Formats: sequence, structure tokens, C-alpha cells
Amino acid sequence: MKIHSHPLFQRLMKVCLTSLTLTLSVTANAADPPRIALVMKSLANPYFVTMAEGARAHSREHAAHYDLLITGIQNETDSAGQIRILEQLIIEKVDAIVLAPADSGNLVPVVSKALDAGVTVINIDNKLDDRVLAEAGINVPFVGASNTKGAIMVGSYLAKKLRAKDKVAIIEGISTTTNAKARTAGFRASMESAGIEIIEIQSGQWESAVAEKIATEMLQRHPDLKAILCGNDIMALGVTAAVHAAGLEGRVKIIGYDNISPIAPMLADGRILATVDQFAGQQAVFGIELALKALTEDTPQQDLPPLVQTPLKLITGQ
Amino acid sequence: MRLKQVCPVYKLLTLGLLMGLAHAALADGVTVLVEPYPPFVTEQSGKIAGPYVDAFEKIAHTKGIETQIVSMPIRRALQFSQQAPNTCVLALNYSASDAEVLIYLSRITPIFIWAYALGDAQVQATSLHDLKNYQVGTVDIAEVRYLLDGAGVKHTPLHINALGLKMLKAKRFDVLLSDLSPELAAREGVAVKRLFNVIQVDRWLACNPTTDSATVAALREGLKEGLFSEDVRGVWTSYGMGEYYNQVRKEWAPINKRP
Repeated sequence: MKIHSHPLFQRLMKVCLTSLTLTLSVTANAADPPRIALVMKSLANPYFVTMAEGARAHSREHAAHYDLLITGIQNETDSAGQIRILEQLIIEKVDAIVLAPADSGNLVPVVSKALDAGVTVINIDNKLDDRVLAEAGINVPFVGASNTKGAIMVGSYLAKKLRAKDKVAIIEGISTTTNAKARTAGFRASMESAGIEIIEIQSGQWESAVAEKIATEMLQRHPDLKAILCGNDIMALGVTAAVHAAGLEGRVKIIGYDNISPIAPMLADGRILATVDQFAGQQAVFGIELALKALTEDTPQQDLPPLVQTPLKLITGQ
Repeated sequence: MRLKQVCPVYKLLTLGLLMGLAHAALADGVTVLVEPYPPFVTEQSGKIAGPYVDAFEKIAHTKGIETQIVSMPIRRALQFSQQAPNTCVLALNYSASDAEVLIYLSRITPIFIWAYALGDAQVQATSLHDLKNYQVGTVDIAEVRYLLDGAGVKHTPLHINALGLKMLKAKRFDVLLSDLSPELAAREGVAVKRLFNVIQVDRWLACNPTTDSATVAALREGLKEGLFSEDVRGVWTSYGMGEYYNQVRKEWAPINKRP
């Protein structure tokens, strides 16, 4: 099914268009259009470059209705850097923040501070930890795809290429993030239902170089490893290099997550078996649209929908 | 063959009943699904009771929220609550996957996970890292699995927790990670020894994300001290669990760290 014909996509687009119409009618009379900040994780990751491009295209199309600020960090683990960015945005009195948090827990206090300052906050990409949100007593809508479902999707595709009792390993993202854990859970479910043994799980910190080092060591420890399941494509790139260096291309299968552009040739020639597209550009737009709708309709933060699911698609080389 | 023909009808009837419950909850408050977990949640002759249930109902009613409590196995409760508005699951463990489909509203109670071995087993373990040398079975709680994954401990999750003791007794594994008490194990006729405390985790009230925001806010407010607020002391004592109630109030962070 093409993404544009996906019922969820159509429903979301309907919501987006409705809210956009409202935005047009309200902001046409406003002196200053609202300022919305998109705060992303690593700008070195092509996934977030795509996300920024999607947001930029949307803001160009609707330039009269809102001003978009795009910012992010250089390193996937730099949650302190993101906190500083949010502090600054609160001082600058932006109207809304659309946030892809580097950490699911550390960012909650500054998000809470933003809400206290009257800034609308929408969470995209990596869900803030419900346990920490509950402790803070705040509602921050999450707009994004189910990482568990996506991981089951790509994991099940891999399982069909393996045999029961084969051995595999998982290289997950930063272990304190919700999306890393949810993807690992999805990978695990797909392997367990096929009777495939997961012999090791390690964190590659979402980074290519870290994943490459871990994979190199794993391949030495487990010469019978049949596949490595990576929590994102950036780490899959590092694992691909490790598999190549070990002379195991074709013998160790690799899957990723995100469908970033650099892996296209690797999907085509089979170095990477499959990945999941969660439509990075659209995700940012959905977050921005929800923020615009909240600002336009003056919806209190606690009344915003806590979950807005977005679509996923399995991408293979075939 | 006959069973196969009957099963879909049975499932439809169950689904119809549940949908009816959910519809009723829309008008009056929330439908709350809970799995029996003696002695905290018990089910006898179709009646669901126990301190979790009574305390929750009392707190919800104080906040003006009507409740319908329904006994249901946790896996089915998880599936159903994702589909039905104004439906919650009581005493759910946290998992990142479930947090993608439900909203974790409030901690309701702590549970303590211990490492157990058979009383006569030659198991020497005082920390997670020591478990690398043993076959480990564990309750299927995501937070425990995260911990074991992080420590590099291979483990077998139990999809039916009640089978843990039997599997330990049958020596399917050397160590069982579980929230059971040694007293309960003794009642089952299995002599076990506690090796060490693995982790304290919390059980939650988690609700369908479309649950009305006023209801969410009221439940959060009412459950600030979980199911252990001063208002429900009488519930716990009525079940002969006053001592347990006092211990939780003294030691559990959401209560003893409150200003």
C-alpha cells in the first residue's frame, strides 16, 4: 500500500488540512505569526536532515502563517546541549516547540519549565518517558510511529531469511531512550516468534563508529552469528563496515531503521537487507501542524491528544 | 472440529460483552481492567475484590469518577484497552512498547523483584553479574529485562508467571527472578531461598490515550500516593494487610519523598 493511500496518513492529512485552514483564518489577522521551533537530535544524521527539509518545505509553503526556527545538536548523546537550546527558546519566548528529544527522561524538567512559561510543546520521534511525565504531572503529546510495530515489521522480514535456532545480536540506540527500548522489544518479539536466538544486546549509542566497534568485537566472539539487528540506519552503516572488514559480507545479514538516503545503494546490493521508513519529513510536519492547531484554537496543553500515530513502511532491496 | 466452530462465536460474544462495557464506561466514567493477583486482586465466584480494587474504587469515587472493574488476563487487557476509549489497565508494569499505545497515568504500587534459587541448590549469586554463570528465568517485566540486557545476562522470560516456581522446581533454570514471596512458594510446596533483591519497580494505571483529559487529571491527582493514601488505610486493614500498607507508606518514594 502506498503511503498516500494509507488510511492513517489520509486521516492525519485531513486533520492537518483542517487545522491549517483554521490557522490561515486566524493568523491572517494577527500582527505577528507564531514562532515555532523545531528542535532535533543530531544534525549529522541524515534522518534529521530529511526531517528538517520536510519542515522547511512546509514553512515555505505557509510562510505567512508561522515562522519556523530549526535547531539541533551535533552528537546523539548531547541531551545537555538540547536542554540549553530549550532554555534559550524559553527566554526568546517562542510560541511552540516541536521536540525530538535526545533523552526520554533528562529533557522533561526543561519541557515542564517551557510549559510553565506558556510555550506549547509537542514531542516527535522519540517519546518522552511516561514515568517521568507522570511524576511531573504534565501532558506532552507524542506525534510519531510505533517503534515496536516498525521493529516487528523489519525483524519479521529478516526472520524469514533465517532458520530457527540461528544466532543473532541486537545493537540498540541509547538505552535510556524510549524508542531504543521499543525497537529492541519489537526485534526481540520477531526473533522469539521465529525461534531465533538473540545472543547479545548492546548499545551503539545511535552512532556509526560505536556500532562498528561493537560489531567487530561481536563477530570475533560469535563466528556463527547470522544477523545483526540495528536500532537505526546510522548504526547499520557502521555494522556494514565491520562485516566487510571481517570478510563476512553475505554471511551476516543486517537490518536497520529509518530509511536514510545513504543506505539506498546498500539495500540495492544486499549489504543491508531491510529498513523501516517512518517518513521523517512528514513527522516534523505533523508535529508542527499539531502545534499550530493548538495555538490557533488556544487549546490548553493538558487537553491536547497525548498520542498521534503516524505511518510506517518496510523498505527492502527487492 | 466442533470446538473450532464454537470458538469464533464465543470470541464474538466476549468481544461484544467487552464493547458493551466500554460503551457503558463512556457515559459514566472508566472501565478498569485488572488481572487477578492474589492477595492484592482476587476473584471468587465471578466477583473481583482485594485491596487494589477496593482502594482504587474508593479513590476514583472520591474524585467523582464512576468505575467498572473487569477481571481480564493482562495480555487481553492490553489489546482491549488500546481499542476502547475510557478504558484503563490497573497494575500494569511499565514497558516502552506499551507506552507507545497507552498513557501511563500514575504509579499505584511498588513491587519487589528478588532472585530465588531452590533451597538446596548450589547457587552463589549476590548481584546481577553473578547470574551470567546460571540459567535464569524471569517474570516478564520489561524493566527487569532491560536490566538483564544491560548486564549481559541471558534469560528466559516467563509468559505465564505462575509457572515460574514449577519450572524452578523442575530445574529448567537455576535462578528465578520473581515478585513472589517465600511464603507463597512454601504454600506451593517449593522450598526456595532468596539470593538478593534485583530491583524495585512500580505498577501503574495506564489508560487509552483518548481518555477524557478531566478524568486523567482527576485520577492523577487522586493517585498521587498510589493506592496507599491515608484515605484508604481502612481498605488495607480490612484485608489484614495494615502492616504492609504502613511499610509501603514508609518506604515508597512517591510517598516518603513528598514535601
